[in-house]
Amino acid sequence: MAKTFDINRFMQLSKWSVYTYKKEYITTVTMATVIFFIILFMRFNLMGLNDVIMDGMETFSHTAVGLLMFIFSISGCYLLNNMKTKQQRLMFKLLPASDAEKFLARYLYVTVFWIVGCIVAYCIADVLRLSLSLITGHGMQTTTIPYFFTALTNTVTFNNVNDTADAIFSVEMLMFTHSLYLLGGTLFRRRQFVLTSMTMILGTILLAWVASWFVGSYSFNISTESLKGFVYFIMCLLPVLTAAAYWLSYRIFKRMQVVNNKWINL
Amino acid sequence: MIDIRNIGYSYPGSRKEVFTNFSLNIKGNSIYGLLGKNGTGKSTLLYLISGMLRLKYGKIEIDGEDAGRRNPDILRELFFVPEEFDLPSMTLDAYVRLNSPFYPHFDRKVLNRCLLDFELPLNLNLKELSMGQKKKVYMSFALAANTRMLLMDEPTNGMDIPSKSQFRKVVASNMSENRTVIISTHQVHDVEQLLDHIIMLDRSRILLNASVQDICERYSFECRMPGENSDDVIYAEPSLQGNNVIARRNSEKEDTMINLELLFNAATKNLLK
Repeated sequence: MAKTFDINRFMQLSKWSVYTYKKEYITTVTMATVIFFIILFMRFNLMGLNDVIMDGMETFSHTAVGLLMFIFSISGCYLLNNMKTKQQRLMFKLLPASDAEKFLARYLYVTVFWIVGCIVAYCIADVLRLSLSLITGHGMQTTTIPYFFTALTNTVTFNNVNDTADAIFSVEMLMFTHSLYLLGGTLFRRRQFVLTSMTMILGTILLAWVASWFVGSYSFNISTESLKGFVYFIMCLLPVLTAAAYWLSYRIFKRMQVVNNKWINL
Repeated sequence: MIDIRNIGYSYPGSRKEVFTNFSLNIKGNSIYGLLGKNGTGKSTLLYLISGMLRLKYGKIEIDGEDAGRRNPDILRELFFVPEEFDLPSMTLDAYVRLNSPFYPHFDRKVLNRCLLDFELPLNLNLKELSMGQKKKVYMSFALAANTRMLLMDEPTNGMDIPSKSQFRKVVASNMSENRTVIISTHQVHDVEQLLDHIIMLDRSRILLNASVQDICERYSFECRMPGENSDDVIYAEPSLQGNNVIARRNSEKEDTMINLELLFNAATKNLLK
C-alpha cells in the first residue's frame, strides 16, 4: 500500500517545484523589488528632511510588514497558478507523488517561499535605493532594513501586544482569512482573488444583515459581558472553520481533473 | 493488467456520454494500437486509465489498484506522453536531474540511445527546441523511464516522414517483455508495423479487439485485379493498382502484411465477424 506522505518524495517534489517554476518566481520577486523600490524612493529619497525621514522609517516599516501579512493572507489564491492550462495540469498531476505531497509542496511554495521572496525583494529594493542615492550624489541615506526586520520580529512575536486574547484573535483572523482565500483559490478556476474577495464581502454583508435582523427581532440587550462571551465563542469557532476550509481545499485539490468545469474546479 | 469495467464518462458541462457501460481488458506485455475516428474517445480513454479524469461510474483498475486514486506507486510505473505537453525552460540535463528520481528504473543510457536514434544532440536546451524536437525528447525520456506502462496519444502528430520512421525504430528497439505500450492514433499507417494488438473504438463500442497475429491468421490483405475471384472477399476498396481487399485467409496461403486503414474501414462497416 502506497504511503500517503513520503518525506523523501516530498523533498524531491519541493525541489522539482522550485526549479520548474524558477522563472515565474524570479519574475514575481523582480516585480516586487521594482514596486518596493518605487515606494521607498518616493517616500524617502524625495523628502530631503533627515528628522522627518527617521521618524517615517518606523511607520513605513510597520506598513511594509502589514503588506507582507496581506500578501500572506491572499497567497492561497494562487495555489493552482501552476495548473492554468491542460498541459500544466497534466505535467503536475502525472508526477509520481501523492496528492497530499503535491498540495503541501504547492502550499509552502505560495506561502513561505513567496513571503521569503518578498522580504528579499524589500531588502534588494532598499539597497538599490541607497546605491542610487550615492550614484546621483545625494550622499549616504539611512537604510530601512533594520527597522523592517524589527517591525517584522515584533509582529511575529507580539512584542508590543499586552493582551494575549488580542494576539490570539489576530492570529485566528489572519489564518481564517488565509484559509478562505486558499479555499477560493482551489474552488475557482479563474479570477480567484476577485471572486473569493467578492464572495467574502457578500458573505459578510449577508451575515451582518441576518445578525441585525436577529438582534432586532428578539430585542437582545447587548451588554459588554455578553459581547465578550460572543467574542470568546468566535475565538473557539474560528480554528474549527479554518481547519474546515483547509480540509475542503485539499479535497477539491484531490478531486481536480485535467478537464474541469469552466468556472470551478469540480 | 488494465481492467476497465462498465465505465461511463462525460466531460464537465456536457450531457453527451463519451463512454456508456464500456468495458475492456488489456492484458499487457504488448504494443496496443487504440484506433478510431476523431471524437470516439481514444484520448479520453488514455486520460481515464492514467487517472487524469474522473469516471461518472464504473471502475478502472491497474493491477488491482483503482486508477482514479492516482496512487504514486502506479504513477511511477505509468508514463503518459500526451498529444500536447509543456516542457519547462531548462537544459535537458537539469530536466533529467529533476524528473528522473521519480522513476526508479530510469536509465540514462536508454535516453542517450533514443536521442541519438532521433538524431538529436545529448546536450540540449529545451526552450530552444521546435515542437517536433520537444516531442522526440519527451518520448526519449518516456522510454528511458522504463515504466511498465507507456501511454502515447497521437505520438506521430507533427512529425515529418523521417521522424516517423525513427519513432518506429526507437519504440520497437526499447520494447521489453514486461512493458505495455498503448498508442492512440488516427494515423494508422505510422504505427502499422509496430503494433502487436489492435483495439478499434467507435462511439463507446469496441469494433475490434484482437492481436495482429490473430487478424493475420484469419484475414489476408491483398491487391486483386478486377475480375479475379472474390468469393472469399469480405471488404474491398478500389485503388490505382486494382482493388485492395480483405479476404478470409486460406491456411495454405502465407501471412500477409496487415493494412490497418483497410481493416478499420471494414470494421466500421461491421464487416469483420
